[in-house]
Amino acid sequence: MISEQTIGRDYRYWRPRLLLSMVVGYAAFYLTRKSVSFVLPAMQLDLDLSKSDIGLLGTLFYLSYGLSKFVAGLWHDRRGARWFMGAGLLATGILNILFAFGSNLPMLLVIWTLNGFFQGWGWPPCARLLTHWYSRNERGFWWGCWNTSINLGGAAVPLISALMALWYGWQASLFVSGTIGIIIGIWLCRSLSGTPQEMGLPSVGVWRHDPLEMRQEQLSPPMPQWQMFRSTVLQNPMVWLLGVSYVLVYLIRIALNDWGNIWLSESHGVNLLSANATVMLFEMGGLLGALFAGWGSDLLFRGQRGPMILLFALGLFVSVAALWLSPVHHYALLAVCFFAIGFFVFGPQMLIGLAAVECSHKQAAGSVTGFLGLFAYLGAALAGWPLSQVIERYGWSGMFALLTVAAALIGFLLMPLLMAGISAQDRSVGAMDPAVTLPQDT
Amino acid sequence: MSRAWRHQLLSLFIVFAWGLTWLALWTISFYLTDNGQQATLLLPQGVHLALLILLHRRYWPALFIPVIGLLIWLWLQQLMTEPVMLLSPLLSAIPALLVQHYWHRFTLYWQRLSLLMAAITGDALLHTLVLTPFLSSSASQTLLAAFTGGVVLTPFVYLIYEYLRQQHLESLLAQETPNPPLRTSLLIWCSLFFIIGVGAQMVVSPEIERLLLIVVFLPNVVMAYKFGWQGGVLAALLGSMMITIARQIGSGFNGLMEMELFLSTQALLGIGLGIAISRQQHLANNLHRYRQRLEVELQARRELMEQLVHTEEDTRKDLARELHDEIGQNITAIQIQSMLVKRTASGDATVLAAEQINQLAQRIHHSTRHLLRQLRPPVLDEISLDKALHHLIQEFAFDERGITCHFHYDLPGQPASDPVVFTLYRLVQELLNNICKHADAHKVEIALTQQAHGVRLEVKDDGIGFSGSTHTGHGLQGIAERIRALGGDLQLESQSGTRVIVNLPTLFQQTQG
Repeated sequence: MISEQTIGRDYRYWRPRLLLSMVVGYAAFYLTRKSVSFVLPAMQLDLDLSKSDIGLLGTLFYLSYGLSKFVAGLWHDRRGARWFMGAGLLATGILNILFAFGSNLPMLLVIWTLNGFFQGWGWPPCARLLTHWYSRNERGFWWGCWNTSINLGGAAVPLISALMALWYGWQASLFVSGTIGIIIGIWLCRSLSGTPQEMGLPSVGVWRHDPLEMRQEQLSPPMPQWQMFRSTVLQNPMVWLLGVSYVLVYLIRIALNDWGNIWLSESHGVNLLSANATVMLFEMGGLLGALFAGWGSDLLFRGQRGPMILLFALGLFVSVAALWLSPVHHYALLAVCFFAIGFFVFGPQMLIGLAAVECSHKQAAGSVTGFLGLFAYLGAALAGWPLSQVIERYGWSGMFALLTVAAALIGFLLMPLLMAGISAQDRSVGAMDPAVTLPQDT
Repeated sequence: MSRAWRHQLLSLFIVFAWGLTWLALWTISFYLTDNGQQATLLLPQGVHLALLILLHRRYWPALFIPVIGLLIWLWLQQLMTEPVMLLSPLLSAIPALLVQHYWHRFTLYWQRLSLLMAAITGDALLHTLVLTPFLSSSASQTLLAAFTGGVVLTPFVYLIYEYLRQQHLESLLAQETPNPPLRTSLLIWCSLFFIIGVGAQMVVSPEIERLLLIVVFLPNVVMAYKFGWQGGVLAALLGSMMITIARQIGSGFNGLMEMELFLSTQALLGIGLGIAISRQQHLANNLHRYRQRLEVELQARRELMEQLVHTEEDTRKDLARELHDEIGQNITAIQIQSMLVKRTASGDATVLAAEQINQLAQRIHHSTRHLLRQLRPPVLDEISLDKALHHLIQEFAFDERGITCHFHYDLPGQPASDPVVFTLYRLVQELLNNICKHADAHKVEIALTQQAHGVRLEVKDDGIGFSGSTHTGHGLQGIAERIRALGGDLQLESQSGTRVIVNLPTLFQQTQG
């Protein structure tokens, strides 16, 4: 039996370090994943690719990424190997360098699909560590901090890529991100740990005295993996509902991320550097949004994620509509709209994953995030080739109409929760004290 | 985290989220109106007013700062030409303050919605009065823009706020349900109406003006009817979106004013109907609750009465046994002793005294026996109800009085509960007593039959009936009370004779008693 002090010291030692490793590691994943999108405008010219070629590249990548995330989630929940994330990062770094030497389309497609497969090794370990090392009433904050790695990666990539592409050509930018991936991957293999239980510590709910966390732990008895997956993920209506909204969230996020700079440079004549800077603004907004969403749901709603998702979904709908309808030749307003969408899209992007992990089995964290990843990258795949078809047929306004409808649907999917909630409240208020409510009503 | 920190962070969050939402709403309004001033009044105004009313006053700076900052920015960017619009957010503070003053006195949703409506109207009027002299657009345009934005968005913000507040207040116990119930019906209705609406617009856009009435007003009515004020508010918002789309796709409306008028009308209809129906549902719920409570009370009263009857019967039984065992034996002993004294007595006086003692003892014996019979008919302890009733009827000696009496007994067994048996016995006794004393009858019929879950007793005579109910006597009154306590009922008919029908619920003993 370890003393209370030792436990506290160990927890306090590991938690910030783990967060740092995960943030840096995931940002590096992001670097090796997004490295291509930001040099696409240059690559498009060099290799003579069409819009639907680019769309196909994206769709295949996201499909393999989504599938791999799901499989990796299942596998990692059972085995929980420490080196998993680092190994994945190492592989994607190598593939990035290989991609730079690719000259024809089929070869590029194969390499990039493989890259998608190894990219899937990033998230499940993070989800697993985040659920086991941080408890319910503070997880929003920690998860939000971790989520900033996406935005940090997303903001750093366009700068690095654009500068490298500008100075040394697009191959150099891929080469640099690949090298960074390899180095951080090797470092990551050594710096991550297992769950607190694997380190001989009590669970985080016990350490933090968090009743909600302990409740979830109680509701998560050990069971066979397939049964666990079936009962807490497949037969859980909340997970499905969250999954469907996730498709839409990702459709919007990836659409703006991947097509945003092309749209800006095509229809507004913005140069590559400022187009990427606008997309960076999108990531900045996302960073703030994820932090506020996570922290707000902890503090305002005591660890409930649903209400916060709803708030952000409403904001998202309004801001996507605004970007669509904004006066065309007003760059400042467009930039603010990009920031606003970033702010409102990364709240749900982060909270939906978090909510899904928290409404299922504790040991299934990797599986459920992987399962959601299927949905997410279905949405992302939709933002690839299918969206390029929409753009070719109906123009940019067609794409924005579609995105606005998607944003409205996110809020719409959450409406049943809202109605059930309020009518329940009406009943409970009435049942508690009819003597008070009746005279006022008559 | 300390209070001050919490407040700071929340304010920061409001500044960001509200600022971005405000700008987005302004951009959409700008697209609709093509006028920076009108855009400020249309959509952003409704949400701004709702937030001012709903949020605590310490967050007001966080609401004002981004709006005023953005207004200045828009003015600098030449997207908005009149700097007087900077006054607008501050003007809204006046109705918001007034409504906040009354907010906590009215707790019911419909009262609060009405307060919000009043605030919207007041806000729109105030804006018109103050801003019109400085603006190029007409007074009616300003009024309509502010009112439309308010009536479409303010109730919706209130709906969202109510939901969030309830989530916030939900205690740990209420969180025990990991999967909140999903109400799919609303989702289906909403999407159905919306799809039909948009589809209709796509297909028959030239004639949309006439169709809009059905496509927009019908969902309003149905949603309000099905889901109360929540449905009404939601339908109003969806309807507004549909109308806006209609205006952009086809050329359904002649101008902005006409569309705004249409928007406000349908929103008012949806919300008003929703309020009315919600209130009706609330009243119906209250009524239902009171009825249930009354039923529970009645049930409790009946149980209490039944217990009373049982207790009374038990007490009587104990008393009767005591009387029988103790007093009976002692009286017999006294009689024997007095007999002995009489035999061995020497003087006349002693013999006389002994005889008197004997007589007194005899009298006490008689009165005790009478008392015993009244307390608890002794026959019932020894013989079955069937025989006891036969015995009772014989005691009345109807034949000697020239009365024909029919007794019909048809029960599968002895009633299982003692109080029922005794009540039936006493009831027959009391009724026959009445008939003998008052009825002047020639024919009496008594029938005891089985019915569903109980027995039915019918006593009929062809006497003079009741001249007045006061004559029925306290005896019958008391018995009627007992019958009700045992869950039965008693009916009295007085037409050409008297007819008494009693139903008593009971079970029957399986063995023939």
